[in-house]
Amino acid sequence: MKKKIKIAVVLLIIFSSYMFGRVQRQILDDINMPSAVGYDYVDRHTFKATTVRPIYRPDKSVGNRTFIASDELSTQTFSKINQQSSRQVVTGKLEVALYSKEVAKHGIGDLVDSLQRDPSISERLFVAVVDGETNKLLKKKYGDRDTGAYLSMLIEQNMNSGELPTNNLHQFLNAYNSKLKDPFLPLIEQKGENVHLKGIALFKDDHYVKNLRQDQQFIFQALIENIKLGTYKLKLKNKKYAAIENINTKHTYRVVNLKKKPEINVDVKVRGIIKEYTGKKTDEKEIAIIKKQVEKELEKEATAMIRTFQKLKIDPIGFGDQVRSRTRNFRYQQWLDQYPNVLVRVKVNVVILEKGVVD
Amino acid sequence: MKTAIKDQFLVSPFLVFFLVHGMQYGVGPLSFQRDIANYVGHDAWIPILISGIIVHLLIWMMYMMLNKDKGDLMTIHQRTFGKWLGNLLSLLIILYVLAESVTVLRSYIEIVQVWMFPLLKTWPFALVLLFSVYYVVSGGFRTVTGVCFLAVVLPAYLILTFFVPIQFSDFRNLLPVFDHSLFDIAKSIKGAVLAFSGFEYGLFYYPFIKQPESSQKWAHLGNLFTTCLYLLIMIVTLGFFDQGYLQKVIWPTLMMWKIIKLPFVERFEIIGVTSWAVVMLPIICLMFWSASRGIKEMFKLKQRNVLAVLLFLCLIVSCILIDRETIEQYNTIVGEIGFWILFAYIPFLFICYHIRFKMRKKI
Repeated sequence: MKKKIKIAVVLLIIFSSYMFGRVQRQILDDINMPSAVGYDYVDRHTFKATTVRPIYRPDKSVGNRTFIASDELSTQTFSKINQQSSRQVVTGKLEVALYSKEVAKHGIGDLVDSLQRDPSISERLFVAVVDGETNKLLKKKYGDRDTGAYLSMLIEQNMNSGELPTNNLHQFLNAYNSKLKDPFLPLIEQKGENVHLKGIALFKDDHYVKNLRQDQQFIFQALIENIKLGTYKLKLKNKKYAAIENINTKHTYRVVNLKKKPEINVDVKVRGIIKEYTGKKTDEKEIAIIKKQVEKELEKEATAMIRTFQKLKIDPIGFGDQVRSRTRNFRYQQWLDQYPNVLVRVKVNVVILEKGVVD
Repeated sequence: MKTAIKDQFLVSPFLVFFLVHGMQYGVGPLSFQRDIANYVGHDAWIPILISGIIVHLLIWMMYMMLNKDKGDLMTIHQRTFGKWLGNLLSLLIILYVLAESVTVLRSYIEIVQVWMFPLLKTWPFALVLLFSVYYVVSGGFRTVTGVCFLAVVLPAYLILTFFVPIQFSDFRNLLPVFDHSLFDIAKSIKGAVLAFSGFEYGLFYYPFIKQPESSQKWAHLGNLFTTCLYLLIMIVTLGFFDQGYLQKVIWPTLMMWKIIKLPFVERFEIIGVTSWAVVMLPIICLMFWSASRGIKEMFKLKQRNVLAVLLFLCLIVSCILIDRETIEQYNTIVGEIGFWILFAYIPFLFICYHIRFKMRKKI
């Protein structure tokens, strides 16, 4: 009798878990996995979402298929895209999220929410701002990859080679949710057959405010992280040019007068190799001039850049964090009030390690 | 007083390391960061260290009582407070153990529902899990210990995954150290101690250990290991998240797994959550083993029948908790009770027991 009950219970559990415990199956070949999504501005409440998914053709080439939908909510656009798609749309393979400049100007907070709330979205996703319409950019096919993979490779490659500060979704969300820092994103643009990196888009909270000038990008990055592999072009006074490559930088922050009005001193050490020089000779004197000139130039750019940040009341570099981590009983409001007038001194120290194989 | 437990049912003292550590390391480490950082922000690693020390003290108290008594919680209660009051207190503790087992089970199922299968129903999953719990617990304490051992050894590779987020971390976030008042730190200890709960089951399984006195050092070692592991998780979390972001994230540990990228799997947290089933199973097993054993001792019932009833109760309660808010509320209430049991009741019992012991000697 007892044995029969036991068998009955076991059977019941197996049966009920099989009947009721099943979830929807998602077979890789039968789902639509967009690799990139872009948002364009329509009006104040609605936006247009464009997704691209790769199509793997039998001849091993990769194609693109784009879907477009507009709505107020980001997830809703996905379900509208779902209505157009023959296969279920899932977000797990998303590699790049793009916002048009117009959307970014009106604030991307609502759109970012869907990125941080969805557990299936990777923290390594790249977020970028597009100068122009994302729709146009995503509709085109670049290179031999699908557009999503192409864009993510483009951004990642530039981060590795020192053109861009590393900035994935996690770092963006960190800055976005921080009380002190403001986020920044890479700015890309479509030009003819190619997509190219245009600069860095600066944000205040979730609104795009300004993009960084290309010549300030190097010092901007040097102040955020230690560059491993950078390049810098210098224009000398006598219309000669010098290119310094394989640069690695190191920054040291010092904050003085913490109690009343903090002053920030940054030492940036730049070590690089001269790769190209349009002058005649690179002797000791010439190198000393180049070194001096680079130092002066970088310091000037840094000061101008920081001045604009302070005017706009944005802090993408994280000076606030530098002060906070050195102050006991840090007062956020006091710092935010002080920030536009805080003195930031940047001192650059350049070391030219080598000058190639000729003098 | 009591019939001694036969030799074949006993376990070696060193296994207490796995019993203590395995019980502490449950669903807590997936989400404990936020509760602590709520009060002390970037100093959140300090309460972990302090709680670790407090728990060492509590373990010492526990062993002082047990070594004298040579029994378990039920006999300690009976000897200290008399038969009726003692049994009543034991029953209350058992009720708490059951309530806690529901929080573990339901929290885990919630994680599976949020992170992996939003459409998964609670009850079939709970049913299957509890069925395996029945299978393990009815195998006796030795089986439960075996599962505990596996739960520590098998998912040990997950420790390595906590090093991956370091390349995206900024440890400047941890500075300045000791930036919060002692009062704030004291408040945050509550959240931290709860993550350490689990050592108190020694009060139930003590008689099942060979040369139980020698197992004390293993219990302390287990707790030390938990403390180090929690410190690692906490420091990496504080470096990885900005304070403003950390306040928003419900499961910071799972968020940290999202940054891991492997060539063969896009989402590592799926592997993490799945592995966590192994981490979490022995906790529920040992909880039910303790509860059913306690009831068996007090009311002289058959342990398997008691177990079946308790599992059924647990299944019903965990199905009643439907959404995030109710689960959160339930967890907070159980956490509150648990905190007072660990923090106040064990020292109280320790003092009462010793007073009673002294008095008996005089007579």
